[in-house]
Amino acid sequence: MPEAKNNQPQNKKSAPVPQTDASLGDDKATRNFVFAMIAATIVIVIAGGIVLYWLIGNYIKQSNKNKAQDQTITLLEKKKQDIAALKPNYDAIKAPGANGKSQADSILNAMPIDEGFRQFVGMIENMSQKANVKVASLSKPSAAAGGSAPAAGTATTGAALASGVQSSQVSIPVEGSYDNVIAFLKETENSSRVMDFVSMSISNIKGNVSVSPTFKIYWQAAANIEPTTEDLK
Amino acid sequence: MNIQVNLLPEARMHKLRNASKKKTYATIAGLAGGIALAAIIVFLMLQGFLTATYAANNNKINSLNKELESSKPMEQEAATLQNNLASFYQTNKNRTYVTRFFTNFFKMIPDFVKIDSVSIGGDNTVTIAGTTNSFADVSRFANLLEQYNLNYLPQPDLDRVAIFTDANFTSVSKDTKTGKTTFSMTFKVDQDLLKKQAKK
Repeated sequence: MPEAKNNQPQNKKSAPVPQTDASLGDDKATRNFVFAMIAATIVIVIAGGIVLYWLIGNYIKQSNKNKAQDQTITLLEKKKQDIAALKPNYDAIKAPGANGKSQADSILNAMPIDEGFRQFVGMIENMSQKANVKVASLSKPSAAAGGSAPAAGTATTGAALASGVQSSQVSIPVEGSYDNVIAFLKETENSSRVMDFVSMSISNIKGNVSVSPTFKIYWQAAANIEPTTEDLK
Repeated sequence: MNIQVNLLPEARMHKLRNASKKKTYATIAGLAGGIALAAIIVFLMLQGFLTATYAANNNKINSLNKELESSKPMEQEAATLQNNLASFYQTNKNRTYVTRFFTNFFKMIPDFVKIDSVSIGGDNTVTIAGTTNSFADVSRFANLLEQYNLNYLPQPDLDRVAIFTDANFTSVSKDTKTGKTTFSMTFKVDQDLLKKQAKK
């Protein structure tokens, strides 16, 4: 009986695998297969990851492009509606009034898209005739000279100009009676085109007055309607 | 009492274990490949869908642009009119009105002073240059300027307040041959006089 007890642990040991050619070959084939599968899995994960990374990148890029298109379409459709709504007002503004001038003409006369010096000369001529003063010439003082009066060219009207508004100075020598010169200055104050007084040199005050006021005139270039960019929402 | 009897020979069991191992690894590799392939197919399909939508949207944008192209001159002019009207409003609001200033200034110039030039700065500062007969006249003129509309020539159409203040000389010089004294000075002018349009 004691011998039987001693034999029990020995029975639990697994029986050795017979080291035959067939079993050894099967072990080797299994090992190779496992290595091949592990290698294949690694290759699949790496290659698949790279392809997916590229595809996801492209997907996000394309998705943003489409989103930008959606925004563009929304904006273009809104613009189309706005333009349709604008048309009647635009036609009304462009329609000539009783004096043959449209409201658009009046706006561009008050704030031209360029210096408009020729029109300005005509306007000054009308004013001088109304005020009964003599205007001998119109000149643009150079920036370095700063006009004929002290501090001319450096003087400003104080308020900051709206963005895009440009200005230049014009000297207008005027001769006439005191009342007529004042009337001429009043004409400049009431002109449709803004003329800001900058400075004035005076030759004579008693009797016939000779003055040379310098004014600042303004203009603004045509609006830029080229497409702009904005951040993708 | 249960008795376990191994009916398979050890060699056969070993073979089955190897086969099971192979199956497990093959399944893992297959699953990885299948998942990767499925994901690639899904993203390719999405990409295709997005590309097709992009092309359709592009056509729509082109047609909208074409429609809007015809109204571009109107758009350009309307934008210009709007901008220039806004700028005109701004510059007109800040316009300087000088006739009231000159009417009052010329009224107060005494006989012994000849004014040669006047300029008005943005902060309502007036700079003048002129000629008198003596230093004393220059000083008198400065006093009269500050007293104008108070104790000197009060104006019926103005409140009795000083409208020319802070008179300061920037230069005074005397020509010894002719005796003429030239001066330049600055003073402040009540901004209401410059910024508000005179009553017609």
